[in-house]
Amino acid sequence: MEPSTTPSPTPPPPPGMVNVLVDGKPAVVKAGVNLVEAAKVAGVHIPFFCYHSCLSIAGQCRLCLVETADAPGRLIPACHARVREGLHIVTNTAAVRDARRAVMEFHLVNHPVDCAICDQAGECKLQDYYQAYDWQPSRIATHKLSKPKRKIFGPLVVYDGERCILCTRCVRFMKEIALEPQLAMVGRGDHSEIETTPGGQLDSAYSLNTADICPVGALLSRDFRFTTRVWYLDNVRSVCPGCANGCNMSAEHRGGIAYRLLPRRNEEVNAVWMCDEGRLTYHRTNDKRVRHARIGRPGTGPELPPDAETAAKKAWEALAPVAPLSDFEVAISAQLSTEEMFAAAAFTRDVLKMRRVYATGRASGKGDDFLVREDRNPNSTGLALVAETFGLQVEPFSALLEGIARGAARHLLMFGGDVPDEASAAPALAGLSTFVLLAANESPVTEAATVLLPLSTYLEQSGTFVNYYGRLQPFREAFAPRWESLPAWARTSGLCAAAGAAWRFASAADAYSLLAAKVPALAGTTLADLPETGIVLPGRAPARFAARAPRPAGMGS
Amino acid sequence: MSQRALELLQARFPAEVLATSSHRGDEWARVRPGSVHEVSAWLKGEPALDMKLLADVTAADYLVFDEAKPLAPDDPERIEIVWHFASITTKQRLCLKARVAAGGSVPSVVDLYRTADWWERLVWDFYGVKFDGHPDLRRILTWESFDGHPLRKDYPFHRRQTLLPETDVKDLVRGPGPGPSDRHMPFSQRPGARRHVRSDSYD
Amino acid sequence: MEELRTAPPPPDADALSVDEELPSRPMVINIGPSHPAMHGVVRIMAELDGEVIRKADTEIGFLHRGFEKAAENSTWIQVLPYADRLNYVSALMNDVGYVMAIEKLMGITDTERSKYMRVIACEIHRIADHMTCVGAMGLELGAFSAFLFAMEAREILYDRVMELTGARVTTSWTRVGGTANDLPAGWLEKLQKTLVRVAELREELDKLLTKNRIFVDRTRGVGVISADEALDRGFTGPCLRASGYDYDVRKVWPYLVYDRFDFVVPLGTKGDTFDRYLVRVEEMRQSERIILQAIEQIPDGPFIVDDWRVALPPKPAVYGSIEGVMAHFKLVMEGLKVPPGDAYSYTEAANGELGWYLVSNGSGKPYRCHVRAPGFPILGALERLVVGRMLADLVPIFDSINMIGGEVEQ
Repeated sequence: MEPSTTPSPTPPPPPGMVNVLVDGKPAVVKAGVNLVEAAKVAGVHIPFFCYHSCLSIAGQCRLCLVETADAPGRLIPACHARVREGLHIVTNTAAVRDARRAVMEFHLVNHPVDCAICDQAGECKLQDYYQAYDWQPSRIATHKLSKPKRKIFGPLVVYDGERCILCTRCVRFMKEIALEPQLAMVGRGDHSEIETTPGGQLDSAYSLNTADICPVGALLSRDFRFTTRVWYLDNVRSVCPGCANGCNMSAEHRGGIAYRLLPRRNEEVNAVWMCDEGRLTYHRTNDKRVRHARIGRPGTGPELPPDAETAAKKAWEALAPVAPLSDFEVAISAQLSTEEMFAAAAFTRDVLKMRRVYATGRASGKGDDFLVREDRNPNSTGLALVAETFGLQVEPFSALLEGIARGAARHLLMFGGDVPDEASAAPALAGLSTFVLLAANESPVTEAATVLLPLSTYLEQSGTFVNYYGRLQPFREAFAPRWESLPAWARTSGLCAAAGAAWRFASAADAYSLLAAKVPALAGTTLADLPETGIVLPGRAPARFAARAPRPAGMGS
Repeated sequence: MSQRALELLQARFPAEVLATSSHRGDEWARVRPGSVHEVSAWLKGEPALDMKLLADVTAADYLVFDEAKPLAPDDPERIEIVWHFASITTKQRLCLKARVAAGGSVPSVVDLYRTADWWERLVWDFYGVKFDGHPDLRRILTWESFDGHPLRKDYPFHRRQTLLPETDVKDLVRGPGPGPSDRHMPFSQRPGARRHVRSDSYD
Repeated sequence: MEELRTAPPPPDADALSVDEELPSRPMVINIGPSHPAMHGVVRIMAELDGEVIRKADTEIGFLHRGFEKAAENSTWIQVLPYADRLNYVSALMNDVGYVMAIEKLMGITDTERSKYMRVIACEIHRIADHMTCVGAMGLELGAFSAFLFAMEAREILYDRVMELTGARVTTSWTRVGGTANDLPAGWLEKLQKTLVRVAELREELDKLLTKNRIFVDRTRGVGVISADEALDRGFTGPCLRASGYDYDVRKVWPYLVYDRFDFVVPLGTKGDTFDRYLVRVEEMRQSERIILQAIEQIPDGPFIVDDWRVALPPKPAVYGSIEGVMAHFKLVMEGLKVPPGDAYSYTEAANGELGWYLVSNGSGKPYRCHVRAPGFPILGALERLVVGRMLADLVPIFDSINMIGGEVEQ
């Protein structure tokens, strides 16, 4: 084969894109991106500590130094330099290799020998890059610097000065994304460290994102610290139930216990961020769960045998006489998945012959212009959608409490045990003659129930939530339902069977298909192959997006 | 080391040889499955090669070779059968490879190399690839009524098949009893372990 | 069912002709799997015509432990204890073979000292393996003392192996890039003394068996196979060399430092059981030669490469520096990073060419780990060797092929 003397000309790139070469591999990238992103397109990884695609460029870790073919030997930071047409990025020369080793060596000079006790082990970028690019022994013969360790920055974040490599990702995040500049770099040279502003603490609603983006174990979550090693954890793609924003997250769990929730990238919903309150909602899956079905108020009746059929039968025995009465009401929690709501609504309309349901859920909280919505329930829009589908009228929970106070409501079936205000609701509900409750967590409300059936949380089932912006997003099952709990669609299926009705819901996918058959925007989709970014339902978006909320390209305010 | 063998092979069977490689002292050539018998006969008979020893016949299931882009279970190039030939007289070694679908078949070389008898039975047992022309293609290491082909990647690691029913001893970590557990798996290698999440939020 | 003869045979008929007229059917007897002479666990369903074996269907799989599947679910170094248990009589050869295959995939070589140490380890276990085979041959033909001599030789060799690796049988001693630890102080001198005693025992064994009338009668001309047929049936190692075919991986494709040693590859002439026995005894003499030369030539130096991507850092660095602890952590938790690709690496194990076919997809676990057990094709040819011989010949033939259940059935 004769070698060709002239290279074949590369075709002109599409508008807005440029041709580049990365280690000899051609790639077509968007004009104006930096070299790190360009190399990613070509499949070449350039290591970095301080760069982050959502933050401003600092250029201070110096690990991303690469060469370009037109200036061999001259190293430029890949995070900062931009592509131009025909640029040839080179990362496999001796100069780049030596630079990476030297930079890693400097970063490690004062780094404490903490791997055995550092939470970040297993997901530490220092470890990963050392093994991949440095792998050489230490050359220092002196003591390492001592800096403050275990400094409490805020209610959720702890700082270790010795592990900090001073990349300032946390500082830039708080300043640019959280818009609360609560962190700053103080000191000079060797003695630099990160500190909170004088008299303040790191108490922003987004403080735990700094622990996420910290490449080493300098900023750690106080909530998660020392609970488990990260390599024991399985993870599953899920959606945060903390508020109606529906931030995509990854639930990390092991052996039926959830350990933490981490944000997952979704450029149209939450970028790579998540608020602290949402991250902590995993405690609800672990703590104070309703384990066994129960008839009668606690301490009065016997515990039911563990099988679901008996529980459904007993529940139907309690419901059947009161369902036709005019003072019987049904409430559905906005914390349930759309599939669970569908099953509940089907049962309500077709078996109980009701025309209205009361929407319950957690109380609203303070919203902001970024990721936190006032509505602290993940699926209020889903409830509206399902109620519309079945022609049910949705009334607020306050109306129900009013009705109980008036005596117009004496029997209640409630799907989901969340109420906006337990202090006022629990005594009212305790006064009901019949209170059939399907709930996941024990609370004064569950103590008021006359029949209690345990529910699974969102981590123990697959399903969807429809967020504030009308986006239907799927979440996957992390582990099997614990104790005797079951998803609400399974409970409802049992109730339908006990009532002799025709509805059955064999699985979440089954319920979803029944829903998709009734909602034109979802026609033809199945739960298993829903796109990970979800489906935006038309006509459900609010008038205005939150000012800084991520959104699909082209969607306006 | 045996580049000569590769060259001769490519010259003799230009249409059948789909890919070749010579790397770190190993030479292999991927051929069309149907041509395996012809090529093997030539390797054995060609005086310049004289590959009289069929050292090994084995296979590999490439279903999840690229974990990010797994193959479809019925991909026609899912299972790669590998034949290792050696010639002690000419001191050359060559490896033939052929890709077939799960449940596919390749010609048997048992009439050329009697050692292929048991090796091909082994590949049939573990991968479910048939060898046309084999006189007695039955399972060798598992029993006749065994269900499935164990070394395929979709045969679960913890599946238990026993000839006698096992007692269900739930609270033993090891030992008989159903129930999956991945305690056997090194922690960092568990499915879905970690990596994609960190890169999402890290970058 | 034939009728009973009611009339007596004619008085001047030949005695043998009575046999020809007796009604008989072939009898199928089941040998094994649980049988003292079925090394490992092998089941032979022998169809006998009188004493003569007409068919011998060999059934294996009783010791199959799923090695290859387990290897796909462990990191590269976690496979090493599984590899030990393949040919459990000469585990060090499995270790060396496996680790050499990984080194071939990664394109690295181990240190000089490690090469010599691996050679010494391999040859020690080759002697142990051959002792087991030869001793068992004697035992099953009735020579109990020969067996005990072989076992004593094996025991003292295992003592040396225990001092070297920490375990007598399942050693897991090699690592990618070298070995797990260096030779203990004074070990080479102890080994030389051990070899002297092993030589004594070997010569004693030789005297007991090689010119022993009973042994020779039971093994000469029994289980004959020609060189060409043996090669065609995939024989390698002593069984092939007993038939006269000169193939020893250490001479044809030398690996480690075998090309620096002066040793001879013994060849048989007839390809019968007796030749297979003689070849093994002579190979033990040659192994001793190799070990003594290696002891002389072994250089000082590191026992493992100084690259923390493959070798664990020394413990002072692990506890004292961040680099050491990070390298240790990554190697143990995530495993070696072997570049994607495949390789076939082969060594001369005690029973023949031990091949390792590894496929890597770049993760820390083998994607495919196949061991080409030398005993597998030889066991496949067992039927060919015993058919036509009498039942009692099955035992020496089966002993002489030295099938090790662990490697054949993984």
